[in-house]
Amino acid sequence: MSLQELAALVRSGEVPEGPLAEFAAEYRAAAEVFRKKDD
Amino acid sequence: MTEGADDRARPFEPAEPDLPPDLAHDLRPGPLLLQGQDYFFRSSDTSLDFQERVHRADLVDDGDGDPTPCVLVLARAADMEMNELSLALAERGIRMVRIDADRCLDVALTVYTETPLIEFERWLLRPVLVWRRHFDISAVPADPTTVHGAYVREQWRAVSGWLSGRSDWEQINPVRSSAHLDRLTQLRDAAEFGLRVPRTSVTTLPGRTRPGGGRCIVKTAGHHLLEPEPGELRGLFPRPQDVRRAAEAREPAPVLVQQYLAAEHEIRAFVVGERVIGYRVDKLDPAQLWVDPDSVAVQPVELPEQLTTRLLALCRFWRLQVAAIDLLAVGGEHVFLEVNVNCDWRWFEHRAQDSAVSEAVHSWVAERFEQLADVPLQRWAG
Repeated sequence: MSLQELAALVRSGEVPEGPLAEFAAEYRAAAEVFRKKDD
Repeated sequence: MTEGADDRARPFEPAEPDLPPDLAHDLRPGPLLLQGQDYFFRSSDTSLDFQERVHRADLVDDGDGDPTPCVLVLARAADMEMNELSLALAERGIRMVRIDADRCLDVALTVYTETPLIEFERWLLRPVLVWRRHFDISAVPADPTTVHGAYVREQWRAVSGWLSGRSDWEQINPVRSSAHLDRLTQLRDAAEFGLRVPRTSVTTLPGRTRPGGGRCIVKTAGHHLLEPEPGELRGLFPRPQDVRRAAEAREPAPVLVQQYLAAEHEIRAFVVGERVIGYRVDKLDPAQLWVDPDSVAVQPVELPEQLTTRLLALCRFWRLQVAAIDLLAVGGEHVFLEVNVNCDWRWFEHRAQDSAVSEAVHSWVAERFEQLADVPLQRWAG
């Protein structure tokens, strides 16, 4: 698959099982954390 | 969720528990800005960079072997703004490569000095745009009190400085100019560009000086976060001046004492290229943004043209393409507080329920990349 197709899959939240699905789950969880971290 | 619950609750460790008895009675209060500051969090070193993950997992075609133009980002693993950028650039088919300070001990990297190429792991890449943010040497997981650790850090310090200073790659917020942009230089420059600034002193006697003659706050002269051990971040946030400390011992390092100005609200202005995106921030005290962020209200706001013109001029002068400027709204006037070069925007967007800055940053980087990637490699050929 192309980079664009893979990114679209992750954005859609409809990733089949496999390494990309694991990444998508980790990413979704991390994206819910909002931390101030200015330098 | 704004923070992990345990992130903010953990106080500093107690003072050295095994001090000799003759010193134990001589414990004086620590530096003012370390007292009562309990903002602590561990910065994860787990990579959540989409492009790194799919390339390492062989999920994407590696191409024909020609150098791939890319955006090179020097950051740290937990930089979610850069994780979002990686995904956003992938959606546009743009390669982004990431070197994180907290994950840099095991990378296969060769940087060519006579051509603008790098080999990163098994990929031959041509960075055309470089963005260094949060690549702090203090995050490199090597103990600087050992020869080995000091050596590793010194190599990365030198090479990351060179990567983020090369003039044959275009840099976002070039370190050559932003490295010298300390808070006092910021105030001086902002005043020269016609912005009002609070009266400010630099002192090791923060109880004895009162610029402006009234209430003051004490602030760090350096970064808002300390990283005494890799991945362990502690906050240093503004606190009210306590003139009762006037007779106490001097501070071990100078701090800023700044005139307190009663403001109607604060403004957070993000500069992205030639755009300025404003948010109004309502909070009760200067440190609330850090210690009680859920109680801070943030909403998008249209900024007056006279202000945006000045902010853009200031950022051009500083050679900053992406930055966040904090201002106070005082009696219809805007007072410059500081500029954050390595700024975060996801928190503000989350509070304001929009994504204006993310969209602007992603588009700006993509457009700049497309302009630069069109320049043929032969331009650099000797």
